[in-house]
Parts: sequence; structure tokens; C-alpha cells
Amino acid sequence: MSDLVLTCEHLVKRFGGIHATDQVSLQIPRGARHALIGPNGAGKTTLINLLTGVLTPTKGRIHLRGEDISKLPPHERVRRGLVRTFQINQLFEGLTPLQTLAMTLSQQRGQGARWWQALGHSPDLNLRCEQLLAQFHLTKVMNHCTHELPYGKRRLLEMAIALACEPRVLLLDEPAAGVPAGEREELLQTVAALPVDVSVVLIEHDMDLVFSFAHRITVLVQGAVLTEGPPAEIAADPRVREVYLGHGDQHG
Amino acid sequence: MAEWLQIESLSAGYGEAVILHDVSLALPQGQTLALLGRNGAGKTTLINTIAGATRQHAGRIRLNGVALHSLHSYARAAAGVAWVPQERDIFKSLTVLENLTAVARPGAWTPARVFELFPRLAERQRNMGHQLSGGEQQMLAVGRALVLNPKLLLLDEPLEGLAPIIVQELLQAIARITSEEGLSAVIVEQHPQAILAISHHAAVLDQGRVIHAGPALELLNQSALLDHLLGMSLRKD
Repeated sequence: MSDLVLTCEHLVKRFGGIHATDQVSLQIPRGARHALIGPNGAGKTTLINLLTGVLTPTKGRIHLRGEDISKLPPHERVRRGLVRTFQINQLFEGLTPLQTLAMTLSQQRGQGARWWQALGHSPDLNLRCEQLLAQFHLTKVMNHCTHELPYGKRRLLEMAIALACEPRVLLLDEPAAGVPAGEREELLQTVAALPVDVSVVLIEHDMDLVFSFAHRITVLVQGAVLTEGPPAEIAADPRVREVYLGHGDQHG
Repeated sequence: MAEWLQIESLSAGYGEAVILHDVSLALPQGQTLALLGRNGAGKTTLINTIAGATRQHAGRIRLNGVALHSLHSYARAAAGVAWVPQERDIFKSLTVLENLTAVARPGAWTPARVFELFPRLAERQRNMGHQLSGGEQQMLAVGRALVLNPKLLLLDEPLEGLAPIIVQELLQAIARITSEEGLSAVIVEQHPQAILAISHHAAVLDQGRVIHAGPALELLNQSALLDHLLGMSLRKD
């Protein structure tokens, strides 16, 4: 069990009479490549919001590396290594990718109040900035203002920020959403090349990405876990085809 | 067949910036145009210009003989233009049902028929817009456009955030609605294969100009040309 990085047990979230999350239990081991799929309104983003502390569960517990984090605020969870990206980009529009990453790394290293001094004076931080910019194909645009970047680059920057937070668990909420066909391959390759020791939980409706990336898939329906298993098993499950994949899908 | 939507020598943009240059396109009644192109090519600007949400510098837009280019956006809606913007822009402080009834016009599409198309919305009809998931908001934005009972449907990335089974259903519904009800549609989409398969025509934009226009199936069957037009090869830093 020591290999488990993130777990939740019998997680429940009610909004009035709606069970947005209904007795969900998950076990995410170190280095996991786990996808969360399900029909629209199944509670996928709500579950991510519960795990990251944006929402408080009605019932249930969440553990990160053995520590009960159920009552911790979001920033404390980030400090402990539970980091997310968003369905709709949440970026610093007026900063460049270089400034954004330098600020994130400085904050992560306790130098947040003097990041502009640290930049250029800390070889270690500069090196990490360069690595992240290269890893996420942002080197050429590192000095462009974020609001001018193509959408695919903005999605990559969102992931680069998350990785700058040195996550143990990375929760990706629809990273391919809105990315044009010409920029998609770059994004898929970057997701595939995320560090192997970081556990990744992916929400996505792009089944090419889900089935090429995930080693294990959980299917949520009406807030509850319908089934969980390896991709081939999920693709062949008639219940999953009925409620989510449909019958025209080629996967499996 | 007479052209239902006719766009001639259109130049438009935002403020002083001109994004679209000399765009001409035509679409017969009951047919669908897939609008493709790389990021920043001007696809959304063209959709927004037909809806009247940009600054038009030159050219003409006619829908069933009506000169849209001289109308305000609300008058274009009254003339039969329904617009599903990329940001969805549903009324978040209204319920699902109120979102539909607030804009519905007489015609074949009613809130009840939208609920048949999207049963998930029927389950959520008493919920407020802000309580919906991203995919549910997308369904509602499409449903809200349909209850306008328009002549022309402008869809900006309508498949984004939708589950695969809903994508299949929506694509089939768009194909059925256009052919059976004489409704024309212009669709911007990031999934070219999916949208070309149900479209009659395709136009590819690059830097605000039309660089390819022709039958959708022809483009679908020429994957090398499609890849070239959309810049599908991996660009490295």
C-alpha cells in the first residue's frame, strides 16, 4: 500500500438534492497513468475539485502519501504535491511564459517576494526555467506576451506551470480541449512524455489521447464509479459503450 | 440551387485591425459548410462577422436575400441567424428551461424537442446555468440556438467538451436538421474528419483569406491536402 500516492474513500458531494459525487473511491499509485471518463455531467470536474480542495466533500476522506488532506485548503495541497490544470486556461495573460515560470518556480522555492531579483541570479532556477520551456515547446515564444500565444501553446504553458510546482500527482482537466488539429500532436507527445515518477490523472473526451495514454481508466456515471479497469477492458464493456463511447468508436 | 447565404468580398476585424481579407463564400439552403483552418486563421472572426459582432470594413453578407451587413446583431438574429459562440455564453443566472424559453421563437424547435435531442438537459432543466458542467453548457448553447428556429446556424466548435456518444448524436442531428428542415449551417471545428463527414462544403482559411473551397467529401478523401492546408505536421521549437 506504500506505493499509493493519492487515495480517496467513499467521497460524497451533494448540491441540494443532487449527488454530484456518490461514494467514489480511487487509488492512484506512484507513476500512475489514470484516466477519468464519463458522460457530460457525470461529476468528473467535481471530483477533481474535491481532490484539490476547491470544494469540500459532504462525506469521505482524501489521503496524499498517507496524510489526510481532506480539510486542507487548496494551496496547502499544492505545496504537498497535488497540482491541477483547468478545463479553461487560468493564465497570467500579461506575463510572458518565461516570467510566468520564473514566478512559479520562485514561489515554489520560497523566493516569491523577490523573484525579479532571483531571475538571472539563480543558476539553478534559470536552468529549471530553460528545461521547462524546452520540455513544453515554449522556448521560441518565451518572451511573447501570454495573451498573444496560440491556443495550443497556452495549454502547454498551463501544464508547464503545473509541473513547475513539482507535483507528486498531476490532475489534467481536458488538456486537449480547444486545441486545433495542427497543434494537437505536439500536445499529445508532451503529455506522453510527462515524468514517469509523477502520477497523472487525466480527464479527457479525446479518446485517442485517453486510450494511448492511460494504463487504467475509471468510468464515472451520475457521480458514481460505473467501472474501473485497463483500457481494453473498458473499451469492450457494453455498459461503457452504451452510456459514453457509443458504437461508432474504434477503440478496443 | 439558389444561394441561401452569400458572402462577397468581406473584410472585417476588431477595431482598426483587419483580420478577414476579401472573403467570398456561398452556401445553398439546407446545406452545411465546414470552416477549417489553423489557429488564428480567422474562422471565429468570420462566424462573428456573420453574426454582427465584429467591425465590418467592406463587403456584403446576404441571407435569403436580406442584406445582413447593414443590420445590427439583434436584427440579424431576428432575420434568422442563430449563433453558438465558442465561449457558450449561456445565461448562468437562469435555469436550463428559462435559457430556452427566454429566446424561443415559434417553429419546429421547442424546448421539449431540445430535451429529446439532449436528454441530459431534460434531467437538468430546473438547474441554474452556473451549476452545469462544461459539456452540459455546450448542449444548452446549441439547444438555445435551435429554439430560435433559425434559417442559418453558426456553430463555433460545437463538439468541444462533449462525450463521444453525444458528439455522434449531435453530428447526426446537425446532418438531419439541415437536410430535412431547410436550415443551413456554418461550423467551425477542430476535428476536421468528424465535421467534413457530415458537411456538403468545406472552406479553409489562412491569415484571414480563403485558401481552399470545395466539396467537403473531396477534401475528406484527400488526407495529404487536408494535412497540408491545416499544417498538421508537428512543428518543433
